Amino acid sequence: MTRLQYIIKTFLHYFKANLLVALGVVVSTMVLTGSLVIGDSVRYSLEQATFYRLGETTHLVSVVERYFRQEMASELEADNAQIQAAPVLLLEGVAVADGGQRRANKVQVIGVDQSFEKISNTKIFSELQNNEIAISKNLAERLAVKEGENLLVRIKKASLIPLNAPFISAEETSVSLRATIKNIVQKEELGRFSLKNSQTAPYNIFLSIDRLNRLMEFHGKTNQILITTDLGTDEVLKSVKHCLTPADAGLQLKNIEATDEVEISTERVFMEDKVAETLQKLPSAQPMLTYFVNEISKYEAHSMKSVVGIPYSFVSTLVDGLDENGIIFNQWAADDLGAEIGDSIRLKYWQIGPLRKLVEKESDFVLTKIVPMVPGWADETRMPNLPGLSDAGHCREWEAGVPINLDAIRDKDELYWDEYKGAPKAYISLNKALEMWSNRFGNYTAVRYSANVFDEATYKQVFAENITPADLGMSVEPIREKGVSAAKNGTDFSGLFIGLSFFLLIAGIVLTSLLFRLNLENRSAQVGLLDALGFRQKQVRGFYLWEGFAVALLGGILGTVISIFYTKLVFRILNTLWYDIVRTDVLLIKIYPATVVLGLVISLLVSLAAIYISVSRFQKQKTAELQKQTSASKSRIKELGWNVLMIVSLLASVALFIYQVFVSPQMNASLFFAVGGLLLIGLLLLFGSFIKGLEKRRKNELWLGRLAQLNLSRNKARSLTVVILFALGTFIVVSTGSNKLDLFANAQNKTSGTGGFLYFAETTMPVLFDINNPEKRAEEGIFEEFTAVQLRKVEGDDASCLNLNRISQPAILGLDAEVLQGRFSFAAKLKELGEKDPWMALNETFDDGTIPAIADQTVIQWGLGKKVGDVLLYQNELGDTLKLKLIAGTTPSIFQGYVLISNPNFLKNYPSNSGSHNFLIDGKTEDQQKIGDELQSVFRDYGWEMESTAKRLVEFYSVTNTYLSIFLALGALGLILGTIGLAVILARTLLERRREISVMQAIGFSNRPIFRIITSEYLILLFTGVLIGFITAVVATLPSFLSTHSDASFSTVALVTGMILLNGIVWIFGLSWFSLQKKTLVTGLRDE
Amino acid sequence: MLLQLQNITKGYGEPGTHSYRAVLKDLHFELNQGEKVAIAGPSGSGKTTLLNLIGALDQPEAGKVLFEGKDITGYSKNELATFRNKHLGFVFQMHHLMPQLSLRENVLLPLLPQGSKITKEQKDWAEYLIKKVGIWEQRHQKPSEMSGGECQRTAVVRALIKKPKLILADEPTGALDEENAAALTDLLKKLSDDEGVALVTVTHSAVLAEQMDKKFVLKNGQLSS
Repeated sequence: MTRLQYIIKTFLHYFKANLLVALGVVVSTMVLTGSLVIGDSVRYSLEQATFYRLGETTHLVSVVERYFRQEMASELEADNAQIQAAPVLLLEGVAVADGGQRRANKVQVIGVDQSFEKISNTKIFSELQNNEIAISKNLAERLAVKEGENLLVRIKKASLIPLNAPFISAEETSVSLRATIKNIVQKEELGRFSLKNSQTAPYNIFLSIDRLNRLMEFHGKTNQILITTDLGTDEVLKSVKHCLTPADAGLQLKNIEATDEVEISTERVFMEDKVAETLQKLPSAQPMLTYFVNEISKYEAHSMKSVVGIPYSFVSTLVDGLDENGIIFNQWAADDLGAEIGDSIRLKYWQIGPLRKLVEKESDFVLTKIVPMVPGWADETRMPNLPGLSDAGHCREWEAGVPINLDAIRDKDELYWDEYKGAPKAYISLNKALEMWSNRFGNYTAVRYSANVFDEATYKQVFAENITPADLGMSVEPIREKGVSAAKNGTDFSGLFIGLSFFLLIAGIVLTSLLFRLNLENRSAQVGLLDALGFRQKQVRGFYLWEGFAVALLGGILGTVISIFYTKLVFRILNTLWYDIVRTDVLLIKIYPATVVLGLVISLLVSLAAIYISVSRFQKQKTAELQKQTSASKSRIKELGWNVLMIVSLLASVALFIYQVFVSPQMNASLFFAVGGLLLIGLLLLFGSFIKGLEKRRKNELWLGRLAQLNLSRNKARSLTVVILFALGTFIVVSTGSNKLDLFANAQNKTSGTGGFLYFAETTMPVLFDINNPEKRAEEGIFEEFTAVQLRKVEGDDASCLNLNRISQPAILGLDAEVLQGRFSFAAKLKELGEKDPWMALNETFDDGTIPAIADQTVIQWGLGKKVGDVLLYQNELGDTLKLKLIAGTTPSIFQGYVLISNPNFLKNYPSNSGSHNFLIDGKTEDQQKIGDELQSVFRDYGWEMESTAKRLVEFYSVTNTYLSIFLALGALGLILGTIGLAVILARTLLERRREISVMQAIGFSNRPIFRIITSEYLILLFTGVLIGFITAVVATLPSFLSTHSDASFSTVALVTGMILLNGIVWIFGLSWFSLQKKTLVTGLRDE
Repeated sequence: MLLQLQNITKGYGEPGTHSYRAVLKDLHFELNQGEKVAIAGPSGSGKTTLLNLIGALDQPEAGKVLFEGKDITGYSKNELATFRNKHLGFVFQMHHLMPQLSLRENVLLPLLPQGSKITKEQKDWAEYLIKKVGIWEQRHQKPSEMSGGECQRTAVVRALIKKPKLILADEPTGALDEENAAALTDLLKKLSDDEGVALVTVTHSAVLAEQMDKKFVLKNGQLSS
C-alpha cells in the first residue's frame, strides 16, 4: 500500500459524504465560472456590436456642425494607396409611416455612394436610386413596414451656414422626402451602422448621397468620411491634411471686376478667426464686414431727435480712411436723408444673442464723405450671400431671420434694390464695425485683394501652411480601435455577476468548508490515530488536502459543466426579464477555454483554501483531545479579543446611530450602512458569547428548554455558523430589497433627480427660438402656462448606465446655470466649492482655461470611470483641446448620459452650434397632461420626443433596480443553499445524537418532548439568524425605510424572508420527525 | 532502563483557577526493556493521561519523560511523530481501524510515515504476525466485515508492525466479551514475550493485570504497587 492508494481508498470509502462536499464546490464553480463566461460573452458581444455598427471602418474623418467636399474621399485614396475611403452624409430625421400613426424619432439618415460597398461589403446601397431608401431591420419593425412600401422621412435641414448666425432665415428646419423602401438591411449588411459607442442599435435610413445633397440644396458635400486602412491615425491625418483645400473651409474665390479685386468669402457668411487671420497674411489683404442694419437716419443733435431714415440697408467697412466716428454715405443715401458732410448719423441694428434673442442697438456717426454711385462704391458684391435675403427679388420678399417691418419699406427702397441690390449705402471704419457687430460666428464677411497682387497658388499654399483640419473642427479618430477598446473596457459583467452572486458564492464556499469539517469531525478519531501511529501533522494534513483536492476537482468539473447551462440561463433572462441592463439583441455566448480553466482553478483554490482552513483548525485541537473527541477551549486572550471586538462594534454602531438620527443634519446612507454592518458583527459576537455562557448559566436548574440550550452550546461553532449564514443572507436580501426606491413619489421636489421639472424633451430638429418668448409662443400657438429651459447639445456617446461601453466623450449640454440654481442634489462636489451652489460655479473658468462641468455621479463613476476633480478632454469646434473639469456629481438625475457646462462656455467652444435639442419643462403638476399634449402637437415636426422627468429617472434607475433584482434573486438562491447547509448540520447532529435520543426514549420520554427539544434548538438558530439579519438590515437602510418613497419591494423582502423561514422550518421539522420515526431506541441503545 | 518518568505533573483547566484539577502529581515511574506493566485505578484517576504522556501524545506541565535515557519532552512535533512511529505501538479500547482499508492494509498503515516503499521483509513480517494472531483468512476484509475480536487483534498486529520497543494499551479488552478478552490478553503477553517488547497497559481487567510482570494503581495522582 502506498500513500496515494490510501488517499484513493479514503476518497472512495467516503464518496457519498464527499459528494455532498462537492455540492458546495459545484455551486461556487458554477457561479464563478459562469460569471467569468458571462463577462467574456458580454465583452465579446459588445465587440461584435462594434463590428456590426462599423463594418470595415477603421478610421473616421468627421466635422461637427459643418460640411466639406465629398471628393476628399477619392483624393485620400489617391494620396495614399493604403487608404480606402467612403464619404457619408450623416443627418438626423424622423420617419413616419401609416399616415403619421407610427413614427420613429432620432433616425439616422445616411447618404452613401458606391464606395460604401468597401465598408459594408454589400452592393445594396450602391443600387439606391433617387427616392429609394434602405432601412434597418429595427426601424422596419418599429414602423411595421416592408420592402416596397413608402415612408415619409423628415430630415433635419443641414445648412452650410450656422442656423443661428445673424440674418439667416430658419423657416425651414426640415426637409421632407417620401421614399420607397427598397431594402431592409440586416445587421450583417451594416444595418446597425453607427458611429457612436453604444450597443443599442440606432434606426437607420440609407439613401444616395447625391439625393441627400440635393435635398439639402448642397452639391458634393459630406460630413463624415469612413476609412479602411492598416495605417495609423497620424498617417491618415497626414493624408487628410494633404487633401484639405480652402473649399473644405467653405471659402469661395471670386473676381470683382469693377474694382479689379479678388474676394475671398465664406459660404458660412461669417469667417472664423483662424481663417480670417490666415487670409490676412496674403499681400494687400483688405478684410471687410458687411452688416444689415435696421435704419440709417440723420440725428439732430440740438433736438436730440432722429428723423425717420432709410430702412433696412447694408453697411460695409473700410480699413483705412475713416476714424471711429466717421461714416461715408453713397450719393443715394445722402440724397434720401438730405444729409451733408458733418451731419450726425445714427445707425440702428440688431445685436443677435443666443436663441435669436434680438436686442436693437444704435450708434452715432459723423458724415465725413459722400461717394458717387459708381461701381467701386455702389458695390453689390459686398453684400454677403444670405439665403432668403441676398437672393430675394424684392425687398418685400426678404427673409432675414430678424423681424422686417414691411410697411417701412418705401417704393424708392424697392427701386434701389432693383438697381443696386444690397450695395452698401454707408461705410464705417472696420474697427468700429468689429466693435459693433462681432459675433461668435466670426468677424469678417470677406477679404479682398488687389487683383494684380493676388496669386492663387500662394493663397492655397498659405492656407495649407496655416490651416489644419482641426482648425475647421475636423477630427480623425481610430474609431474601430476606440470602439473595441470601449467594448473591452465596458461594464465588467464578470465582476458584476461575481458581485451580484457574491452571497451565493460565499454560501457555496461556506457549505464546502462546513461539510468538509463535518466529515473531519466524523473521522476525528482517525486523525488522532494517524498522529499516534507517527504520521507527522504535515502528512496527515496532506492526506486530507489531497482528498479535498479530489473532492474539489470533482465538484469543480461538475460545476464547470453546469456553469455553461447557468450562463445560458442568465443570458436567456438577460434577453428577457433583465433586458434593462443590456439593451441589445446582440448577446452571444462566448466560451474561451482559458476562462473556463481560470474559473475552475480559482474555484479549486478557493475551495481548497476553505478545506485547508477546516483541516488546519481541526488539527489545532490537541492530538490527545482528539482521541476523546472533545473540543479544545480557546485561549483566554483570544476570547478577550472577541469580547473587545463585540463591545467596540456594538458601542460604535449605537454611537453612530445616535449621531445620524439626532445630531447630523442629513442622513448619510453610507454611514447607516456602516452602522448596520457594525451592529451585525456585534450581535453575532454577542450571540456567540451568549451560547458560550449557556452552560454556566442556571447550572442547578433543569427543564426541557434547558436541554435545548445546552445542546446549542455543545457545538458552538456549528450553532454560530448557522446563525451567521442566516444573518448574512437575510441582511443582504433585506438591505437590497429596501434600496429599491419609488422615484415617482418625490418627483415634484426640486432637489430630487427630476429637478422639479415636469418633462424632459429632445428634438431631432433644433428649435432655434426662445420658447419662453411670448410673441414666439403666440406665433407657434402655445397657450399653456409653463417655462422651458432650453439646452444646447454637442453630440457624443451616451454615458448613461444604459450604455455598456466605457466611453470617454459623452454628449455635452450647455445651459443657463442660473435657472438650475437650487435644483437637483449633489452626491459629490469639489471641496473648494464649499457651500456654493455648484450650478453657479459653472459660469466660471479656471485659470488654465479648463471649464467647470457637472455630470450625474453615476455617469462619472461608472460610465466614465472617473471622479469629481477629473478632467475630460474634447476637441472643440475651433480645433482646440477643450478641458472639462468635473466639479460636482449629481445624485441620480435626468441628466444621466450628459456632461453639463454653462452656455457662455459652450458657445465659446462651439460657436456654430445653433438652437436647442433638449428641453426641461416646468409648470404646474395639475397642468402636466395639457402642457404635454400641447408641446407634442406644436413640436411634432421637430421630432419632439418627450417623457415625464420621473419616468425618465425611473428608466435610468431600472438598470439599478434590475441589478438589485438579480442580487436579490441570487441572494435568495444562496440562502436556500444555506438552508441545505442547515439541513445537513441538522441531519448530522441527529445522527450523532441517536444514542442520546435512545436513552431519553428508554428513560420514559415520549417522542413529543424530544421532538420539541430538537426542533426548538434549531428554530432558535434559524430565527436568531434571520432576526439579527433583519434588524441590522433595517438599521443599515433606515433612510430608505424612513423615506416615504420606498416602493413595494417591502413585499418582496417580506416574501423572501418568509420563504427563508419557511424553508428552514420545513427542514427542521421534517428531519426531526424523520429521525424519531427510525428505530433509534434499539440501534442507539445497542451502541450504548 | 527503557522508560523513566520523573516528577511528572499534569492537570486540566487553567492553572491557578478554580477550574484547575491536578491529575498527576510529582509522579515517578520506571520501566525496563521487555517488562510488562499493568496500571489500574478508578475512573478519572488519570490512567489515560499517563498513557498519553508516555506515548508522547501529550506534554506534562512539569517533570521529564526519559526514553532510553533521552528526555522526549523537549522534542518537536515532528520528532515526537518520528519517535512514536519508531519506538511505540498503540492499542486502544476501540480498535480505531480505518474503515476504508482492509485488515492487511490497516496493519501496514504505520509503515507509510517513513515515506519509503514497503519492503518485502516488512510484508513478510506483517504476514507472519497476521498468521500468528489467526486472522490470515480475513486479511482482505474490511473492519465492517470483521468481528470485534478480529478488529482488536488487527489493532495489536498494527501496534507490532514497526517492531516497537514499547506497546501502550488503553483498556485493550474493554470493548470485548470475556472469551475475546481472554484471547487478546494471551496474545498480548505472548507477543510481548516472543518479540521482547515492553508493555504498559491501562486496564480494569484483573485477568489482564494478572498476566503482567508488575501491577500499579494510580490514585491521587501517584502510582503505587
